[in-house]
Amino acid sequence: MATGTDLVGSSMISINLSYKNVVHDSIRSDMLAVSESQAWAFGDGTNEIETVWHDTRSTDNTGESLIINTGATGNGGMVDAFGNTITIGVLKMLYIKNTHATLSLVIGAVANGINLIGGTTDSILIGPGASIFWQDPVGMTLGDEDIIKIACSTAATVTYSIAMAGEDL
Amino acid sequence: MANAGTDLVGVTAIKINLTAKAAIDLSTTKDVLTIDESNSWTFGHAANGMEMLFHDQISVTTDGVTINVRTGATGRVDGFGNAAALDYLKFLYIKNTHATSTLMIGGTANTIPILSGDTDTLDLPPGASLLIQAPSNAGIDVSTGVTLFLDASAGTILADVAYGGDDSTA
Repeated sequence: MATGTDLVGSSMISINLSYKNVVHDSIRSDMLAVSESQAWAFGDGTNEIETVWHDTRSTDNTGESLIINTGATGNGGMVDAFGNTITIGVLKMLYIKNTHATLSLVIGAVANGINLIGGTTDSILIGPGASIFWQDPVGMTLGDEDIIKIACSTAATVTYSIAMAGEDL
Repeated sequence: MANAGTDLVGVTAIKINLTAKAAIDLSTTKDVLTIDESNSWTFGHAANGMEMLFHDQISVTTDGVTINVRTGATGRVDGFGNAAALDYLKFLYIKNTHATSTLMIGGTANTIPILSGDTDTLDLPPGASLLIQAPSNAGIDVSTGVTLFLDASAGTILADVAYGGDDSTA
């Protein structure tokens, strides 16, 4: 096992849409261009991250709790690509994609859930084929609220991809 | 009403490119993460189809702002003056541009089903942004859950909001 010594790169939300309507002999257009590129350096300040974790997983309607540091419930045993147990203290980026064709994912509804989700009974829905991406250059301090619970919305097994990055405790 | 949009094409994308390194005695190992989730959109109702686009920079106070995604009421219009009225939401982008206040999403009756229930909320801290993409034919069905409610933890937040989907009037 070796501790991470560098983590650099970028994440981006990009929207480029061309919306038009025809009025008599003219065409009016509305061009929407959003390019929110976030460069990341290694460290524990703004625009900096120290740990990345990613996986492709499956879960049922009982769900699974991903414990991403040593908060109220102790370490969850999640390891990065180098075998280090992750302890993300400040979350900077989270990506979840529901890769199932027909089933929905439920994110949240757990005690000590990350503060991206409002309360312990609150949850986000991600439909079949849908994805959610959140980025924050300053980050969300986790404290005891360090659990991402992921479940299938019905009694079946759903597949998903997940990636997250942030500062270590 | 102004003339409805006749074409809507383009791309929304989430891209992640990160390289992590760790030194082990005589070498340095790497973990290269590359995610490119680009959705190309065409005009229409089908999967990867959209017909209506809305975007605005909205001032949000602690009283909150209600956006009816289903009807476009009141005054939520597209770039051509049409009520931004959707059957199915296909993408949603929100950015909290405030330096210190948190933007809360949801927590009201008939919340759009990006959240499980009417009292559920999702928080965007200062400077954070969110993109949800739902390219399937059904996207996010907003026929019953019609309300996108935005609320500020303090002060007045300027929220960048953009969404698109199937036009409920088409």
